[in-house]
Amino acid sequence: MALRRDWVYENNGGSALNLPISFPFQFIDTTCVAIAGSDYCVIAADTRLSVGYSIYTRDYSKICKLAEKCVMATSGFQGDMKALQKNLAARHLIYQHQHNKQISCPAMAQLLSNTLYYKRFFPYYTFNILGGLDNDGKGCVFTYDAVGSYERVGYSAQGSGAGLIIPVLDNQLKSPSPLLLPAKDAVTPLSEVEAVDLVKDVFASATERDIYTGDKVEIVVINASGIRRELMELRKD
Amino acid sequence: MEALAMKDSAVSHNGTERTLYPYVTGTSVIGMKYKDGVIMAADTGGSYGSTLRYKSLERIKSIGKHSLLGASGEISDFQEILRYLDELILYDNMWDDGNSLGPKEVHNYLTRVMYNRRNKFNPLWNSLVLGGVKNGQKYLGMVSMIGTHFEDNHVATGFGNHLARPILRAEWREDLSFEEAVKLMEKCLLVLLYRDRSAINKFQIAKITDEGVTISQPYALKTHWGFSAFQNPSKGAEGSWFINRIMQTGTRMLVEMAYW
Repeated sequence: MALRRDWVYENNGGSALNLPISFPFQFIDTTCVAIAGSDYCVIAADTRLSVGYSIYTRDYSKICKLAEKCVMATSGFQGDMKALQKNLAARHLIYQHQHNKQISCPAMAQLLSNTLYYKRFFPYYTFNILGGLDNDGKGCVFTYDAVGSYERVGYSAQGSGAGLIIPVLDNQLKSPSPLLLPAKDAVTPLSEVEAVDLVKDVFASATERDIYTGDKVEIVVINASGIRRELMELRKD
Repeated sequence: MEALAMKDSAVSHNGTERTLYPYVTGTSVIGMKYKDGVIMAADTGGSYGSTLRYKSLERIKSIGKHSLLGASGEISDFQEILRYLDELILYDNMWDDGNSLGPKEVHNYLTRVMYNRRNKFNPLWNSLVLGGVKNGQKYLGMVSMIGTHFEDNHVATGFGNHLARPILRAEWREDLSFEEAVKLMEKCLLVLLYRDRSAINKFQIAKITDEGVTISQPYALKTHWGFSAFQNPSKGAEGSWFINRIMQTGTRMLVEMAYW
């Protein structure tokens, strides 16, 4: 007999703690990364949709454009991911009707946090990164947990490959340490081209070792001239 | 049996109930796009646990003018979904505005229904395949019982995901003709027939194009069981009543290993 809770999130090929129950310890499939620069922001996520040990499709985008200068990448349970993205897109439409302008990235960040906490006792099982340009045109990245706790950072990774990627970013981005006092702005001094190259490298590496990462990586770059999107092939195994 | 039912009962004091596990289930559905539209296939069996209870279930139905829906999982929930869709299509027709819901819209509707039922802890225990053509645009998508959904050139549910998808990944092309698509489909169906315990040799193939929907009459595939290894099954490992005899001669270890 399946436990009542087992089917609510996803039946995975294995459980993180080798327990007979899989809720709430689910494998977080997919990997997302974002890097903020002085006048740009790079957000990237792979396009593999996997359930347990199967791949459903190699071409599923996890990046959602919420506003002119605000893009969200989500990892976690796909049903909640889509519902959350739809929810925020609808809220942004209402915002535009009420304020006659696009929402700013920090404001959307707060909205996402509130939306997530609203379901504190039956969470959206999603691990989000919000990226864009703030009101001064500087890159900003906000990173979230499943229930809405968030922080503005210079770079972030979420999802199954995050553990493989964050140490590399710590090392390569030459950002000031987050432990310094007074807090130094963590935005990277790298140029846009270097940051995009780094993202490609980091995804290629994560693909080697993480089964849930692969197929393609979708890279979105936001800068003063607008939003640009590119796809890069990754290993399909 | 009763003690188990009591423990797992979903009946609370005010009499509400919710789905805990499926009873009558259908097995895989496979769908793929081809040159002129979308083709979908499923067998016509409904299992009640390990019993093959129903052998003539139609698990693929047409929805509106532009879509086909195939379902695996709990059959009664599939019938419930058909009632939801009947109402959806009825309201769409009542607008009488020349517009009609396409497969993309129906897929989105089904995704929302499945996801919201899962949020209420009362799921529709199905994996659905939704395919169709509208204004020359082909569409094929899948929704699972918890709302995981995607669209692709070929989809399959249940065992089909493990056995048929790899074949489709290797051999599917954008410009398959109808005959080629049927051949490829039958290749997948044959593998499922051999290897899926709940599959039966009675299939329906449905196709949808801009011209309309055709669901075939149920038919069987030709299978081959005449392998020499099947002729004398215990040839390589003698059965248990031999073991006693051979134990007496002292070659017990070798035979036991061969037996297992």
